Amino acid sequence: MKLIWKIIRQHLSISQLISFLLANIIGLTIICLTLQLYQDIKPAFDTQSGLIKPDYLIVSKPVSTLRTIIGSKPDFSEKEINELQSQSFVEQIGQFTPALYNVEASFDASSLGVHLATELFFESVPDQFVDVNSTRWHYEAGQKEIPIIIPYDYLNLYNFGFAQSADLPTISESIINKITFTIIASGNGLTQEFTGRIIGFSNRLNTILVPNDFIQWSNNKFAPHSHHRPSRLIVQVANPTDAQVTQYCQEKGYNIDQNKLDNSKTKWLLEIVMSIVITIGIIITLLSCYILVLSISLLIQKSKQHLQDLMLLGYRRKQIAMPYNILIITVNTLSFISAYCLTLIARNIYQHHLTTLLQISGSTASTALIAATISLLLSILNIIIINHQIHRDL
Amino acid sequence: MVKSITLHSVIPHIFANQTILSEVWNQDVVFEKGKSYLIEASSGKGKSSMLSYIYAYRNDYSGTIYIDDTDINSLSENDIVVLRQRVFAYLFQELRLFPTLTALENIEVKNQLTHHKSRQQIELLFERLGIADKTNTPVRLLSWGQQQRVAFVRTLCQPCDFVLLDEPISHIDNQNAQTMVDILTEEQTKFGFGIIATSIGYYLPLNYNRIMQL
Repeated sequence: MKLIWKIIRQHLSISQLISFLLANIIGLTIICLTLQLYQDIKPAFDTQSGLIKPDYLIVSKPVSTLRTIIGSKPDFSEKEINELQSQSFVEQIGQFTPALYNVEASFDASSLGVHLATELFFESVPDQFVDVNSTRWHYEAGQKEIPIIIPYDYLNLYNFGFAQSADLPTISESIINKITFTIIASGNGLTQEFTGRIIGFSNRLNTILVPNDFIQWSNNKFAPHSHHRPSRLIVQVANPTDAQVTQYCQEKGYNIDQNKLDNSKTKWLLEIVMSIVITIGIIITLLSCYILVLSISLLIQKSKQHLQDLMLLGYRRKQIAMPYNILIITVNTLSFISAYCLTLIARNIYQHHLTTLLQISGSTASTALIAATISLLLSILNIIIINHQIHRDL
Repeated sequence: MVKSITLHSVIPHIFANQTILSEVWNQDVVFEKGKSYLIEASSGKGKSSMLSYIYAYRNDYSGTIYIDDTDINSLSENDIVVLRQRVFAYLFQELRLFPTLTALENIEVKNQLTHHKSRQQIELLFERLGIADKTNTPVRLLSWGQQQRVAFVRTLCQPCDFVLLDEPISHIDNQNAQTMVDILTEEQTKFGFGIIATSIGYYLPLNYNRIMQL
């Protein structure tokens, strides 16, 4: 191997190899840095908890003074729902269904000196809008335990407001998942005790959410004669950045959670810009790969006579190809390491500037993995092309 | 182990339409292991072509060459590699040394494939052939005669059934030619290989079993 390398090395063009390295490092760094930056700043746009699927909008009617005075409720009629459903940008609609009976919740932990009791309300949306494992988000008629999703704000309100002022212990997300509390539902002359368990938090739904099956079953049981019209709708749209969505809601005087819409738009634009930059990175990387193939092809052409002599001495093609393969793997590894280091350096710099704006919590492992995969794929591609040439020319 | 090479009506394409008087072309010729053969011819009669056909790196001929009973054209790439590592040792007319490597490295290129000779044996051969002081000299700096001796040592660095020598002493003096004969005879006695040498008139002074005019 050492001697074969010595034979072919004389034709090696260092300047061509450096050109490849530079181009490949630039291309890979652009890809790595863009992915890393995207990963780092993406959480700033992901305001939903992850329990409610993205691309859903919450549509409601404004509560005006006039409505308050005349006692009109800001709810949707069946006609309005059907009209919204027929819009081209709408994929599906779900209604918020409230519990039409009294609900009281209490939490008693004497050892901690905590006793809380409050009146509550429950709402549900169709299960397909809730992105939680169906085994956790499930209710069967008569079951004692009810899974619940509450807004993040409630936890914050307790931890930073109530717990501080009442000298109560603060509760973390992981702890609250383990705590159960008592729920008493009453109506229609019946009272029943349940156990509530908070299985997650949501930033998007400003309500206390329970499974739809529970609401259907409990409304039938505790408020069989009550009826309601939905005051909020959950709408799945094909593209939340679609201008038609805003336009339609403005025309009808509906409220949509505009903040989320703006976030979606910014995120969408960010994704477009990132895609363009990554495409440029990929093109540069592929071009650099082409430079390497050309450079090694030239090396083979220049050493062709010696390579043929090696074959006449009894060397196998794969033995002859080995130094070229090692060269390819070495330069690709070198450029991967350089690109990754450059990405880490650049990340350090932007992290310093961005921490004032947002919390950067992304990991660099996935970027390293992607860059390593790209380098590996490029090496394999180069090796295939070079080995094909050796097979053809010798 | 190969016992014989048979040329059956072999003739290079380039001579196909010519009337040729030859003891090899268009004849049935058998080269047996353990015996020595000299192929004599003037320039351009196809001496190197014949050896390259036997060595399976050219096939611009009609007729058939058998390695024992196997048609050489039916060999796979792997068989040919084995042929070049274990069956035929070839001293090329154009030597095919690597100019950037030293004399010893040129030997090692072959010997590390076959592990046939020890470093000591190689150095002894260099010494007997009068090139011991050139061991670490890049071969491009050696004279053609010195390079021919380096290539000769390389040829011996493999186990084989036949040694193919293509004008092996074209640039070598009588004394060194005699040393080469001595070494070849010793090796032939030890390993029992056959020798096929070509000559343009000035030939290796071996005891040939048969001398043929090409």
